Amino acid sequence: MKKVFLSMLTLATLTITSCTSNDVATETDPNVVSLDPTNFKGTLEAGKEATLDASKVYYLTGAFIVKSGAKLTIPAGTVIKATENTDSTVRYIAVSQGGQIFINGTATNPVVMTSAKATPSKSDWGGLVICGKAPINTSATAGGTASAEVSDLTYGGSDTADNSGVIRYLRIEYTGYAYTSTKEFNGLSLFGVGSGTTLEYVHANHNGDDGIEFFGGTVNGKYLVSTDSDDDSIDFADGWAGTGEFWYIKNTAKAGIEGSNNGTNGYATPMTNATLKNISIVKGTLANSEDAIYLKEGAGKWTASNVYIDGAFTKGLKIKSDDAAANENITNGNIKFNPIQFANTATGFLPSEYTGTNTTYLTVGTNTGAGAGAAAPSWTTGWTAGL
Amino acid sequence: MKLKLFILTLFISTLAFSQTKGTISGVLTDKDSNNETLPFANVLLKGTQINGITDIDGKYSLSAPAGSYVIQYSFIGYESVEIPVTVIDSETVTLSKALGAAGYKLSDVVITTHVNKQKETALLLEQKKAVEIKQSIGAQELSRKGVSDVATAVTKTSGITKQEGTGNIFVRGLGDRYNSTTMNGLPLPSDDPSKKNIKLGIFNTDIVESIGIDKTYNFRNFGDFGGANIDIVSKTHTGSEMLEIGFELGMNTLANSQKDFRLQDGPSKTGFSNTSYPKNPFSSYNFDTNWNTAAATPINTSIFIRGGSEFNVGENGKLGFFGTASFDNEYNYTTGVSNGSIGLNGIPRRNLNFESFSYNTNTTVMGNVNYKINTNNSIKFNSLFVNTSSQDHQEFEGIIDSFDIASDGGGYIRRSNLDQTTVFINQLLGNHSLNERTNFNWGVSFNSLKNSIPDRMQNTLIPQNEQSDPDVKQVSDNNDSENHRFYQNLKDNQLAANLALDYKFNKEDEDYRGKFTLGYSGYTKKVGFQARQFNFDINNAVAQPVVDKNNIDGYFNQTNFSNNLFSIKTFNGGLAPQTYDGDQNIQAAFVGVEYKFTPKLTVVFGTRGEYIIQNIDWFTNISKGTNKFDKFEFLPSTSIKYELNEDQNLKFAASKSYTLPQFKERAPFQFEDVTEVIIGNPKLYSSTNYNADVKWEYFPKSSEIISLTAFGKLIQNPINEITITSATNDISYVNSGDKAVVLGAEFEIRKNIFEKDTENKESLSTGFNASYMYNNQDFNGQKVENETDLTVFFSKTEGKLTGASDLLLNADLSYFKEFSQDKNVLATITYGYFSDRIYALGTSGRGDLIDKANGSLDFILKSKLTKNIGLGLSVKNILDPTIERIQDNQNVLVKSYKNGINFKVAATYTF
Repeated sequence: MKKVFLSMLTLATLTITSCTSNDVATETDPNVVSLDPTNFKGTLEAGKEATLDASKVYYLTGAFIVKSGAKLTIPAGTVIKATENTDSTVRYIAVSQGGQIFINGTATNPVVMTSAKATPSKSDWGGLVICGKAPINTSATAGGTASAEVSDLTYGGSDTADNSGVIRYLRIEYTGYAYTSTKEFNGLSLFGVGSGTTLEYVHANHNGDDGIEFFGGTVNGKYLVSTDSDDDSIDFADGWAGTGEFWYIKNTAKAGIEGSNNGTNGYATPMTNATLKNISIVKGTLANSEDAIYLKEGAGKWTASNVYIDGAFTKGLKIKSDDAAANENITNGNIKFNPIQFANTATGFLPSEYTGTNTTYLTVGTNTGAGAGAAAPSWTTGWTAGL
Repeated sequence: MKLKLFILTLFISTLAFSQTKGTISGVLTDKDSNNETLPFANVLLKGTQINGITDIDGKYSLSAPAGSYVIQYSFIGYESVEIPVTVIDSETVTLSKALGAAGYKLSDVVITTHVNKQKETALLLEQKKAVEIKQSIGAQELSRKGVSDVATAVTKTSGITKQEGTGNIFVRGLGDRYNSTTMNGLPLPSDDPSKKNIKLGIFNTDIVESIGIDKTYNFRNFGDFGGANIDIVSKTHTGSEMLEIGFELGMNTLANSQKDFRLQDGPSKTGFSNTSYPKNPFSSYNFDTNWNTAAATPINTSIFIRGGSEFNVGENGKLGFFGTASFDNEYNYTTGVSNGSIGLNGIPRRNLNFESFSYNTNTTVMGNVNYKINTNNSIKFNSLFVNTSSQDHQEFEGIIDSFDIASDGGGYIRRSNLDQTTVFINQLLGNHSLNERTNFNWGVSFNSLKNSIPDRMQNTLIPQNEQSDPDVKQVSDNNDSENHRFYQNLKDNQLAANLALDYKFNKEDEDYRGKFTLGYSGYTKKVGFQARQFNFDINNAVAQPVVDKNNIDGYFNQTNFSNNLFSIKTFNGGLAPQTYDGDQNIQAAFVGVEYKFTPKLTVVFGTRGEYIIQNIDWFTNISKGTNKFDKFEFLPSTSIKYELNEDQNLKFAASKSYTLPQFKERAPFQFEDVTEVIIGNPKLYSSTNYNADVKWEYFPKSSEIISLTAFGKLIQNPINEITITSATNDISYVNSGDKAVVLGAEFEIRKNIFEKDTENKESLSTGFNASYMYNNQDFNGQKVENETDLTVFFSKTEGKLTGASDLLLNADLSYFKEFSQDKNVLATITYGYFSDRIYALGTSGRGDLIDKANGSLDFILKSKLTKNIGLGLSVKNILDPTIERIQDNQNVLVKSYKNGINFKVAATYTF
């Protein structure tokens, strides 16, 4: 029985191997493939591994997809530049469920994903999409799945400890490509990514949509920077259950942090459960930004501490009065901001839109936020840009 | 001269051999054809064996022993008239009569020359004689009921409804994908990239002789069938010369009450527009049509001319010509509520009031040549050109997204759209009696269709600062496509051929008991689609000015473009369109046998083998690829007819057929609708359909029918369009469950309440049909997950079919009074009703979207003032009910509006 299974597996691998079109096998190990820096696109099939060469600039000329069972390693200092879309194929990098990416940047030598345009601008290219097997709350059944941005990418499941690899010291810029009426890429999209994944030191800069967005999942995000976003800076939704520590957010067109539970059903489970520590949200110079934090669509559970809000926002916490689920979450003690500081506010500033009976969910204090209040914290030195 | 001699001879022989007899003679004429003489009609003295047939000039003569009789005149497709007559010895009584529609004695039909299929009675007779279960609606009935297009026409028959807004036809609860449309038996192209069938509304009833509705499958039809095949039989001309012109003037109460009726700038009022995107759309602002609207006067008009003539060619040949040309336009206005994205808490995220202005045109030109070479051979050429345009300008105001855009109100969306379809249909058809036993008929067609959406415009404005004044607006910068222009082209060319050979066998007395049929159908089509969208990306790094919603041109212009307030982009970064090209090739052969086992029992059994190839290549900004699909289907079908007695039939039909996924449903091609993205599913496969019908028909009189049908359908692996579970609420297509079941009954009655057969006729007749259905399908999310890469969060494990109303009713009442030969009046009221039906299936715990039950009442008055002049008046949608769509479970209003009442006066002149 075991032999039959093994031979089937071999056969399957062979079949898959023969289907691989864009990777070129080296003579030594047929499973290790090298990728063409001048035409970086295609798929890395199951069982295959590839490591980029940090001495070269990789020109992303289409979608690059790491399939289930494949591993892509990007060493420190590697630069990936998305070329201008002149051939109608959107540039983005995606990791499928079961695939892994290892972005091994360092504090002095980060991995950079950016636009190849001479004068780059927001929305030049897609972004980085990672799909995992951790729970989401939009599926029909507990542990069920859904389809991500590109419909052949599935995400969600019941593996809370799922491991999509390591993302450390990554700067991702000029993302947010709008490719349909309803879809824009985020800088970094985390779809049902599990807690086995390491997510640290990521800077999303100049984002046409959100900087970083969590769609369910259980991954923790530490040392995240999101600046200059046309939408929200950091967004979590659909039952994200994780800890966010040391987030530095500046220049946002919509909300600094937008956190929701479920757009259709504010009470959907597993409910979003966010632990947020050491957060700075700085309004900056973008027009229209009104709210520092938006507790949206049922909001879920929030335990936030050491939050520092800076600038002329209209509201500190936005919460719609007709969003019964979100208001109940505050009233029932599921949402706490202890302590939060509102610095440099304008006249007419409203700290919170909540008008219910809970009077202790929010305590105002003096905070350092991500480390230095409105100023860029020291941990951003060396690998971020433009702070 | 010859005839005079003939009559003289007859007269003499009467004198010579029937000294004790008298004679009745006269001329029969056709009341409906300018009193042309009526040849080959039957004349009978009731209760005797004395009968005769009118000659070529409509003359007849009977001799009978002196006494009192009732003389009966009859002819197929015409009323049968009975008049008391007294025959006196050696005398000739002259009795002439004009026969009209609606009445004949079926048992008297001896010969038929030309069956006028426009007439209700003729179609009823055809229905009675057919072995198959058939239903038809003819030009006469359409005219009586004031029906002007084919879509509305089919809804007058039992079990068929039209979806509000989309115009989609549902037959017994089965929508577009289950139906097929043909003209004279040959397939028609589709005008919508997401639909299988052409919108039936584009066909004007001027071109229609009759519409046949086959709700059971027979082997002559293409096997991609589940609900009905709708066959439009185009009008032809026989008989003497005819020329008619007409003019109509109308208005809609709501449209007319609008002082500021506004439409998109650019499209021509003629319905023929040719707008294209600018040459250099990115470098500067080069759009030459305005965003601002243009004013219009909402008066509806219609004009037509039609004529025909027939010539004798040689000894037996006849050449008939028919032509019709018309132009119609129509303005409508609706206003109401449009809500959407209603979550489980029952709060609509989108909460808008809307105004919609629309303008539609239809230009139809049809010509045909009907060449009857001799009694055994005929050829018909038919050419139809239709151009339809449908313009609408909509303005929405309120909350665009309660969690996001204009969340406290003051949001403004305007959308202007022109959808133009041009279809050109050319058909050549032939029928040949090769000998007494063998008949051969054939048809070929070449059709081309172009659909375009040139220059769709959309703008979204939001309050500059919601908290202060929602009326101070600026352009929305949430998503690039909120302000856009869109250009789409679809081409569909197709070639089709039908060949069928019938061979009769087993002659008994004068009739053959059996008929063997062998045939071929082929159908190949090529579809090409291109779309480009230019998005106006708002620069939110600079302060945006206040924009007046009535002067969008004041913002989107070269100055503001130069000042970098916005830039112009496409989804893919360049001018290349997103495209798909598809071809479909179906080759089919069929064989069938019809056999009359006893004089009462006839059975038809046939099978069809069909080979289908579907290919699609697509190219979008997110993917490109090819999807190929081929399949062989073997499709048996049977029909049984048992004649209970002379007036009653019992019929049975059963079949297996299939439902193919449409081209783009299988391609992972992102199709951009205005507010949603629809993506194909390469793992979609065809459904298998089983159908059985039993029908009892009773024809009490030639113009009357009572029928009762019971039917059952089983659809395995039905396909549904549904919102898949995704980060962005995309819509796709899945085989959503194991089966769908439909069980139903249809009842139809047409009855004359009274009928006065005096010199000037007077009658009151009524028609009523009803259908009641049980329908159910299961939804299986696990099945979808196992079979595809998609997941669906069905709100229910089972439910009704989209578009299926449990109860459908149609009723009409017609009063006809004749004042003199050329002076009459016909008044009809019709009523139609459907019970609640699903518009879209619910997902993620949201209820289904349901169109609420509705009834509509129309009044139509037609009068012939003189031999030449006719007048008409129609009042449609008299009750003007509020059209409502709700979301079930949460029980929240999604859409609500009224359509207004339509008034129309018409004048015709017949030369």
